[in-house]
Amino acid sequence: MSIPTSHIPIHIHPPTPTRPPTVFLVFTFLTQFTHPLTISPIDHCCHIPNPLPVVFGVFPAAAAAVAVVHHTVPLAVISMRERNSSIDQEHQRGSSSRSTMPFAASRTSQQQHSRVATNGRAVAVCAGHAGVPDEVARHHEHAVAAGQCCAAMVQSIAAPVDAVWSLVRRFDQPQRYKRFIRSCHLVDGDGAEVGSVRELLLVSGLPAESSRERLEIRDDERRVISFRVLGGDHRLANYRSVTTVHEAAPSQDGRPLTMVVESYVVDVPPGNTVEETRIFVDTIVRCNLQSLEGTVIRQLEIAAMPHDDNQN
Amino acid sequence: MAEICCEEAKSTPATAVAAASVSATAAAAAAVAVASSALERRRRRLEMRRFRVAGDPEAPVAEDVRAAKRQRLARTLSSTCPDAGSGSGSDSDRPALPERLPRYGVTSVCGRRREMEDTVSVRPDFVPGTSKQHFFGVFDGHGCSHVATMCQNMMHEVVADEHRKADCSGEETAWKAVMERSFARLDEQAASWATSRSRDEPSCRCEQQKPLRCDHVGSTAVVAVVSPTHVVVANAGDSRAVLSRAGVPVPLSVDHKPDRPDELARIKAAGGRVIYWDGARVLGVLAMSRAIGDGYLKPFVSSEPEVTVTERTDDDECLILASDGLWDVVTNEMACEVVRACFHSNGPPAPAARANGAALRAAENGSAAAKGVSVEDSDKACSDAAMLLAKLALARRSADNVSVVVVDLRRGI
Repeated sequence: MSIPTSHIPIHIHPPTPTRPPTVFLVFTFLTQFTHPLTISPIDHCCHIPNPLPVVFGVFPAAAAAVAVVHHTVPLAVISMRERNSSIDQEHQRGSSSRSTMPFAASRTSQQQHSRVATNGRAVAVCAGHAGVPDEVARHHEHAVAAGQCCAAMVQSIAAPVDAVWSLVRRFDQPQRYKRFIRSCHLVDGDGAEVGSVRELLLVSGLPAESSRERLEIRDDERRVISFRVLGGDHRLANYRSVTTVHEAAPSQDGRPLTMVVESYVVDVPPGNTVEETRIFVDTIVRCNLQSLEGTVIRQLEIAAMPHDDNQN
Repeated sequence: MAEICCEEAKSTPATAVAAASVSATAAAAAAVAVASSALERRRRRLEMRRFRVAGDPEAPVAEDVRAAKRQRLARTLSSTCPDAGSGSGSDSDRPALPERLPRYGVTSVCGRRREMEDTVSVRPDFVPGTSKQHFFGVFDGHGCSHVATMCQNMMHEVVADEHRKADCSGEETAWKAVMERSFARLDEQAASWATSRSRDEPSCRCEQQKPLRCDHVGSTAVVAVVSPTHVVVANAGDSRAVLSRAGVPVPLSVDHKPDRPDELARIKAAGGRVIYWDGARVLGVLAMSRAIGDGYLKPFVSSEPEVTVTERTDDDECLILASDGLWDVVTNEMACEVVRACFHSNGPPAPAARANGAALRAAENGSAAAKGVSVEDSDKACSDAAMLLAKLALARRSADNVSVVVVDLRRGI
């Protein structure tokens, strides 16, 4: 309840001189336009061809606030911490979208379609998520629209959880454990902050050349990382991935065991079926998870070698 | 010949690269000229030299080719001519000397792909203790170049080793076993590349990442063993070997595309899927159904080669091995015509016959100069043909690396 309330002062607080308010209101409209949880800002943009006098400006803001309140209710199941994280993401998304309005419009449209199709509620569990451990299941819930498919894959690794997470968390260097990547360059942000964007060039032989991806979540406490595909030369439109790393019960001999879960949601490309799309994506994800296991094991083996051997 | 010019003219309007098109057209025109002037020859050589510089990533392959050529020249100088009268009747039927040295040309260019991942291997007299057998291989890598490089360095040694073990007498079944075991050994070597890699090997991108396995990297392999009596071809992937016989192309390999009916059935039987994802691909990922490496797609992508053993005839003109960068944009017929035109432009058959007589007599007297001239002329024709084919592929906007090997199979030269 406190969060929706805090939105209202944000919209009302700025001063009200004649000229600055106009500029501010335009800014507000653009911000609201990219807000994934609201519908009414789009309507207002359609109905308001020009910035309006101050007296009318108050109502769109109020309406937006109400809309926010309305759409927060169905997401109450999300924990307070996640809600904060979600709002931060929305701010980041708004920020990046101001510089790329055409893309923002496209993305908002997708979001609206997603919301309408699922009545604003995330699908709790689907067949593809049957194997996801309970400890991390909530991180892997995806809102799946018609024409999309989702799945989750689990990889257990006989290694300490921190060793695994230290590789998985590197948004700026996915090639340290992922296959199929020829090079990775950050084109926005530092790779550690949410909203960073990387450009991947892929190896030959694949039905893809490049991929542009945005960091959506990186939580070192919960060991959750998520990215969204913004574009590139490939057929995986609106791909979003979530990877979690958590500690499993140690095996009989007491050695540490780590569970890695990677789930994704993506559009089914025209001409292909849900099954075909999952076969293709699962092949890539499985290869990367197995590579992650191999990389971690090898790193630990190298670290365990005597100093003399390391020098050789 | 006229058809080649017409074909070239048709392709010209479609190409955006005017320079490449003009270059290819000029080269084609030069190639079909029966009597080229000295000036024309010099200009063509200059053009080819410039072209070679442009294809800078070709350098590693060129080094290998130069080494092979130096080896051949050394053998020419040191070889002793066996008496024409000695040996069995079959020896006298086919002059021994000309067959000892393969006559071939090689071209390998990066083209419009970002990196060069093709390799070529030419190994004359590659079986120790046995003469007259020559190894040619074209390997088109994907994912990275180290599997193709490994095949370039090791495939001929493995084939020679398996050949020795099998005591191969040239029968088809024996050669099939030799090639299948050789490809399997290279496939195993690719799978364990990361752990067994020696320090002095040049590093590639994968080395920097230090993965435990590089099972997402692979290579096609089309291999030919040319002897005086037979041509043995083993192929895995979508590179190809074509024989030109009396001007008619004879495919010695069939491309392993995932939607080839028997390949599709094999993959399905193994529990895999062929998905159309920018073309037919195994699991939607790889556009070929057989390759060396690609461990993550086993058992659907197999390394087992298809082997053909073809008896040579007097009508045989040449053997062409090339990667799909060529075959995707050039038909077998067109390729054979280009080579034929290059052979003609380097001397009509009749004068060659007379020269052949002179060369034979000179050979009996142990004259090195005559041998050099004869071999060099043939090599030039093959090199011209390989270069021209690569240019033709680029002019037709091939989107891949292009590697071509042309082997002269004509007898009596």
